[in-house]
Amino acid sequence: MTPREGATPLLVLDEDQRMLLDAARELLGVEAPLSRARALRDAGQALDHSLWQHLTDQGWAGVAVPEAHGGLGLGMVEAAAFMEVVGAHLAATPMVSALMVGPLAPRLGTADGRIVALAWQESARHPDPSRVASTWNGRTVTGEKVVVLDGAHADAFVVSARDGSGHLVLLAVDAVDATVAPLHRVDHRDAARVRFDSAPARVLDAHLADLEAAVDRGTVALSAELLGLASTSLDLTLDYLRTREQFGRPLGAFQALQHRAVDAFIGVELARSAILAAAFEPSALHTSLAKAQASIAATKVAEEGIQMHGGIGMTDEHDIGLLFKRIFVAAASHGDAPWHRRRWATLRGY
Amino acid sequence: MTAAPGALSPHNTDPGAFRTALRAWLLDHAPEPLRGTASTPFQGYWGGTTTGFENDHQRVWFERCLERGWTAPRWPSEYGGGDMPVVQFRIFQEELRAMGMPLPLVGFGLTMIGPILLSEGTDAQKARHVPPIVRGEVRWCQGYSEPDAGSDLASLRTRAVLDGDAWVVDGQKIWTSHAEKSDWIFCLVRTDPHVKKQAGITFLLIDMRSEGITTRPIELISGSSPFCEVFFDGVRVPAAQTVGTVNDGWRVAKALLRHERGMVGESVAAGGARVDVLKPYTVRDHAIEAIGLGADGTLADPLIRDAVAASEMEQALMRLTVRRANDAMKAGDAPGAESSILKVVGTELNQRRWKLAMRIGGPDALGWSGAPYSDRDLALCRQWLRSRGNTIEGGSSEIQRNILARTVLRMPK
Repeated sequence: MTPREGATPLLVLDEDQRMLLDAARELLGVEAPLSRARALRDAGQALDHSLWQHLTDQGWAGVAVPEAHGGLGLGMVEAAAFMEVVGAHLAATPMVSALMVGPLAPRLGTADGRIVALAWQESARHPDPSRVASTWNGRTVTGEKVVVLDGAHADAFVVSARDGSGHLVLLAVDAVDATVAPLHRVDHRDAARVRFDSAPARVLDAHLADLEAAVDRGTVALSAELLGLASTSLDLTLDYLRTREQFGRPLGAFQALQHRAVDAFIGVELARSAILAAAFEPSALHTSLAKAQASIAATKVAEEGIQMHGGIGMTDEHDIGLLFKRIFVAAASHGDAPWHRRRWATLRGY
Repeated sequence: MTAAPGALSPHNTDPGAFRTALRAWLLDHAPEPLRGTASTPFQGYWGGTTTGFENDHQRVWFERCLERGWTAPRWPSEYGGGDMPVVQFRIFQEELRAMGMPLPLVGFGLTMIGPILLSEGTDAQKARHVPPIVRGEVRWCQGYSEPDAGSDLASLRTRAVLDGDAWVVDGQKIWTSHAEKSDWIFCLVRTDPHVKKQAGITFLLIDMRSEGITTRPIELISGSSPFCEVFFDGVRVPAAQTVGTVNDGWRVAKALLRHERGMVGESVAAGGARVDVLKPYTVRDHAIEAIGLGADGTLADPLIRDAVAASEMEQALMRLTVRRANDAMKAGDAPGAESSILKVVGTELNQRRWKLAMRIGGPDALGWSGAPYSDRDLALCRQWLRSRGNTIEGGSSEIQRNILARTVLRMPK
C-alpha cells in the first residue's frame, strides 16, 4: 500500500488487507498447526515444502514482487502482517528470503516459489551489508558468507561482492556453483555457511542501497515473525495461568505472576506499534526500533513462558520450548537488540 | 484564503472543507506567539477566579475560541459548547497540534466533572455548572484520595450525614491537585458505613468557599507543591448538589478514573518538560554536550550511548503506540488493548529518562539551588525528583497492572 501523498498513513490495516490476512490465517490454520512444526522437526525437515507450495499458489511467495513479474505487487504492510501469521504458527517457510530477494531481483523467480537466498553477511557479529570482502573479477565470485538464511535449500543465491575498483556489486549464482555447509542450529531451520570459489555469476542491476533496503526488509520480516511467535507464546502461557491450579487457586490469581504477565504483554504491544511503523513508513530508524523491541519482547515472553509453565515448560514435549528456540535464533539474526541500539545511535549522530 | 461561509459550522459534513476552513481560521486567529508552544494537555489557561491569564495572547486565544464554542468543542451549544461532531473534533485536535497551539482552556472542569455532569447531572445542575466551565469562570478540583484511602480508594471515610436539606461533611481529602486555586471540588463521601464499601459512597459538588473548608499545600521531594490536603469540618452542602443518586457515587467516579489515567500517561509521554528552561531538552543533546563525541563520532561513554539509545527508542515506542491508538479510533475501531498500557509505559519511561539525565549530568546535576549550578541543571534535578511521583499519582503502576491483568489478560481472581 502506498500512503496518500502528503498524508501521514494511519497505523491501521484497511479492509482489503484484513481480508487478505484472514485468508492467510485460514490457510495456516489448516496447513500449519503447531503439531506440524514438531512433526517436521522430528522428521529432520528444515522446510515445510508442501506449505510453501500452498503459499506460492496463494501468491504469498511474491507478495512484494511487482505484478509484471508474477507477484502480487503489494508492500511491506501486507508482508509484515503475513509474517506475523507465519510466526504465530511457527511455520518453516523461506518467506524472509523471498521478501529480501523478490523486489531486489524479481526475474529470479521467487514469485514462482523458487528459493533464492540472499548471501550477504560476512561477519556473524556485524550484520552490516557494506562489510563485504568477497571479490568479483568480471566472470566469477570468490568469498564466504557466514550465515545465509534458507541457504541449505536454496536453488540460487544473490551474492554481494566488490569489483576491481571496490564498488559493491550484486550477483546471481546457481546453487550448484556454491559450496553449501548447512548449519544445524537450535531452531532446526535451514541456514547455511556458503562459500564461493571462482563461482560463475552474472551481475544484477542493483547496488548497495538496494542491498541495504533488502536487508532491512528481511529485518522487518523477522521482527514481524517474532511478534507472531511472541503472541502465540503469550497466549499459551496465559491459558496455562488461567487453568493450572496450585494451592487451590489458578496460578493466574497470584499477583506476582499477574504483574509479570502484564509486563510481557506490554512489550509485545510496543513491538506491534514499531512493526506497524516500520511497515507503513519504512526507514532505517523504524527498522532498528522494530527489530530491537521485537527481539526484547519475544525473548522475555519466551523465557517467562517456560518459567510460568513450570516443570512441563522445560520438557521437549511442550510447544513453548519450540517457540523459545525459534525466538532466540530470530532475535539474534540480522542484529540483536543491542546491535540495533548501536545502529540507532549512529543514525541519530551519536 | 477565505473560507466558504458555513464551512466551520458543526453541520458541515465535508471533513476536507472543514479542515481547509479551520486552517484558514487558525492562521487568522491563533496568536503567533503561542504557535509552537504546546507541550502537554495540562498546559494553558486553567480558568477560575483565583488565577488570571498568563499573558494577553492567552486571553485573546481563549476569547476567540469561546466565541465559537471551541473552549468546549464537543459540548452542546445550549451550554456554550461547539456542538462539534467527533470527526470535526479530531480534525480540530490535529490542526491545533500541527500548529503547536495549546488548548484555549484546560482543567478538570473541562476534562472530568463537565463530561460527568453532562451525562449524570440534573438539568438544573447542568444549567448552573456547565456554562461557567465553558467560560473559564470556575476552576474545579477532585476530592477522591484520603490519608487511608489511596490505591484502595473505596475505603474512603470522609462522612456526609443528611441534616434537613443539606449534607454535613466531615473528614479529610489528600493529593487534591491545585485545591488552593480551585473554586469548587467534586468529592466522594461515605454516606452509608454499613454496606459493602463501594455501595455506600455518594458523589457531591462542594463550593470551596463553604464555611468549614481549609486547604494546606503538600510539599513534594522536588520542592514543588501541586497537591493539597483539604479539611472538611461540619461543611454544609445543599442536597441538590448530589450527582446521581445517593450511594451510587462509586459508579459515577469509576467512569472518571479511566479518563484520568489515560490523560496522565499521554501527558507524560507527550514528553515535554513543563519547565521552560528545559525546553527543548533531550537526553541525546545533553549527553553529547556533557560527555562529548569521540574521534569515531560516537559518544565517548559506550554505556551512556546504549542507555541514551534505549531511552530514545522507548520514547519512540510510546509515541507510536499513542498514534496507533488514535489511528484505530480514527479508523472507527474500538479502543484496543494498546490504549490500556499508556499510563504504565508513559510514566515509567519518563522516570527512566530523568534518571538517565541525572546520570549524564553526573556531579553537575546534584545541585538543589544557587551557584555554581546552571538553571538547566537545577530544573533537571527537580524534574527527576518530580518524576518519582508519576508512577503513584493517577493510579499507581501496581494498581494499573492489577487492572490490566484482570480486564485485558483475563487473569482469574
